[in-house]
Amino acid sequence: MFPSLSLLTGMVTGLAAKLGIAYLQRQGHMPQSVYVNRALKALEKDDLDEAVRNYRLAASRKRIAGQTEIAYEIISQAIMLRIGKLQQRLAEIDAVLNPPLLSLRYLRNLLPRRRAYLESLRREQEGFEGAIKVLEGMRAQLDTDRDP
Amino acid sequence: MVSKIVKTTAAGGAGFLAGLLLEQGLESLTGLDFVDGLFAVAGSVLAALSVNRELVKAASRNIEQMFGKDPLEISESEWKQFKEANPKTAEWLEKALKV
Repeated sequence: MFPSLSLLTGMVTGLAAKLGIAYLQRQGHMPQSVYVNRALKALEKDDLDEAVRNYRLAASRKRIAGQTEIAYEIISQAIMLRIGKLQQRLAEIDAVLNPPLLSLRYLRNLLPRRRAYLESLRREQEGFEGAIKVLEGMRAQLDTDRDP
Repeated sequence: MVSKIVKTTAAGGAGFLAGLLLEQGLESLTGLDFVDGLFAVAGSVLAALSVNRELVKAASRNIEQMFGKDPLEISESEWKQFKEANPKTAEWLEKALKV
């Protein structure tokens, strides 16, 4: 009725492998390429948080590998591209919200029927400004583990 | 002959069921997937092997977003612009793709 020795050995090996791998992964002891690969996969899914987290695990070593350096540039540029797009949209919104004084757009903005639309633009503007701050924070996190 | 096949099938089926029950029981008790633990090792090795491909894919996605076109269609000046912003990536891409 008692499980055989080979079955128990298999179970213990599986358990040790599972717990050991999970511990090593959490602590950043796996090869850098493992974390770089995960970071790039996360980037593909547009999950910047996960990408930065995995990059930091890869870069937590004393000696950063070439692939990790390249991953830094790629993730950093992906963040900058998103910031650029948001800033572009912010400039468009700003042009609508703050047109030159006495221009046609300025006069149109005074119309009561535009009030709701302008208010929604202001909310959008606030959202984008917040998103840019978050992205800049992520970019700063990327630099945390790099040598000066 | 037939009885041998029946016996083997019955023993195999019983063994399969016992193994399945044991695995399910252990998984529900510990919340761990034993097979997954073993595959994690293989997964880590595979991840290490496929990282170069992922780097090329990620870099080309960035180029696409930067210039709004396929990386194969970018001009010399656009490539220089990319190289200026990402020197290590560009150098690595040139080596990897033997440009």
